[in-house]
Amino acid sequence: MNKILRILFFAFILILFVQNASAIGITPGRNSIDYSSGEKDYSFSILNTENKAMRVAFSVGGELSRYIKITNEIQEFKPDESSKTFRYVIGDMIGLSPGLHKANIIALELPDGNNEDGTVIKTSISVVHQVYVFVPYPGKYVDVGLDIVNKEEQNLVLFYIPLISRGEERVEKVSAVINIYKNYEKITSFETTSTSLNPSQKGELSASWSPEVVSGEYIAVTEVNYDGEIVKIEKKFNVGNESLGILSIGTNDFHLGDIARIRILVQNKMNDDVAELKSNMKIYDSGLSKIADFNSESYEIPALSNKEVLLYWDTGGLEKGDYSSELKLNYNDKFLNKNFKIRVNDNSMTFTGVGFVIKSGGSRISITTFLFAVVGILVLFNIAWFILWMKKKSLKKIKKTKVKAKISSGRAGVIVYNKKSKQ
Amino acid sequence: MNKTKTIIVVQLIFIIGVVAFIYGFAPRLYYPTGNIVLEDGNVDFSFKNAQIILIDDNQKFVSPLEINLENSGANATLEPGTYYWKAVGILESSVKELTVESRVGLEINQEKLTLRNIGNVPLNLTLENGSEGIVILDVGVEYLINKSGDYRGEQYE
Repeated sequence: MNKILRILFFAFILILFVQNASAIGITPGRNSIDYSSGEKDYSFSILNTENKAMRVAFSVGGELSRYIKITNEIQEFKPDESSKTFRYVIGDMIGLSPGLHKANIIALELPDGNNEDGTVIKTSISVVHQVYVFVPYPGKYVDVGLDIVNKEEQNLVLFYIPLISRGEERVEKVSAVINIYKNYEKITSFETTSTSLNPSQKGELSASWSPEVVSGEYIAVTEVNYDGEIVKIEKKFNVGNESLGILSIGTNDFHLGDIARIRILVQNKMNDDVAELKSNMKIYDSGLSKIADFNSESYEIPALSNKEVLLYWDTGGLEKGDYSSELKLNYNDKFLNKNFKIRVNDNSMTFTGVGFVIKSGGSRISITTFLFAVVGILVLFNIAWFILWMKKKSLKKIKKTKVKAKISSGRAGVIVYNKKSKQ
Repeated sequence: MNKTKTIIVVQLIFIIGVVAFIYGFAPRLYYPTGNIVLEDGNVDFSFKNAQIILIDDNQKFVSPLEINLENSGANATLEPGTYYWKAVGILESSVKELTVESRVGLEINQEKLTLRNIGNVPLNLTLENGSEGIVILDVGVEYLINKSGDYRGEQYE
């Protein structure tokens, strides 16, 4: 009987073990280093996300593995140890060619008890701390990228070119020309901003374009020029109606304290269906504390059509007043953010700011701006008065000295006269 | 002479007052400061005398993320990387640097035979000591494994 119980107990433990999820984490996931001579110390942490007893084995792989020394090969974790930091040394990397060189420090979670009964654990997991070493190129060298942001509401396409100087020498001027093509035909071209870069320094160029072209796909061919060296990079992007729009937002028959039914009319401007649209709204009070956070159901919006999306906000305990909100529409792995001001009264809830981000303050002059203006005027008056006073004072001084001089010369004259009269 | 002294003293007091007034309105940054390294990308910014926060990955703030406090809270969710931030009120603050560290995490469910990315960066998932590439696993996404072996997760480019 005891034997059966024991078997059942071990079977139960085994089931528990099998059902339990096992996890391991490592941070940072990558250590990017600029090459320098000599030995250097670095570290990473292993995360025991489930706070359990575990054993972790370390190994090093990749091109730079011969330069990396790690002191611990196997490390035990207790349940109360949520993370542990480990050090490693990168030796003097002599003779590396310019460019990127990599190594991996692998942390493998060793499954429990695999040695005791001889069972072979079939599945194991490991995580990697990547070591990236950049050896600078001789002379000047710049790595470039291209990011394109379509600001549909403002009819603007923004171009950002991230830069990293990977050369040994300073780059005096980096600038770029962006050429826009449609079906291999050049539509327009324009210049970006310019900058300078020290070795290893990051920078960015930017340009904006107001397209006056038909909607569709275009290609941006970018020529980045750094001190005479040209790098080309190209990317496709869309112009025009390509996403969602919010046509209206509001409530009907609202009474403070009830559950507000917020109706949002969403327009699908795309030629494709939106399979799953979910919305989320966050409400903030005047102290910018979040007071509500609620989600809608999932909606499907056919191509080039409108759909009413409903959100429900429980206003029990809410006071009358002005609130700010952030509406997020998630669709097709993208999202659209809009901000609204909400004015809540006993029997009404009004939204303002549809279709644009509310600007702070607008044309209203705040008390602090007014105070600054007053202080500025006072400072100017004071400076002017002080200058006048100083001038006046120096004039008085000059006058006084002149009078003194006159008096003294007059006295001398008298003396002379007296002398003469005495004679 | 006494009058001159009084005027100079009044002037000094006025200048000190103006400097104190301007200093009182200058944005002050409390958190995150001092080239801090954060494990979590959900950053709550703490500062005074400003309405707008600008966050960018370059010090010249060419394409900053702008957070207007009139519309939202003073927080942002940042992907792993190094960022610069400043606050803008009537005056502009100095620039502070912060780094959100990448976290690679992998969870295996032996019962359901799934792997899940529990880190904050997409993972390049490989099998058998990195020799066989399987999938790019996005943050929070689960992947059904169909064969046993050693699964490895490393930060995707």
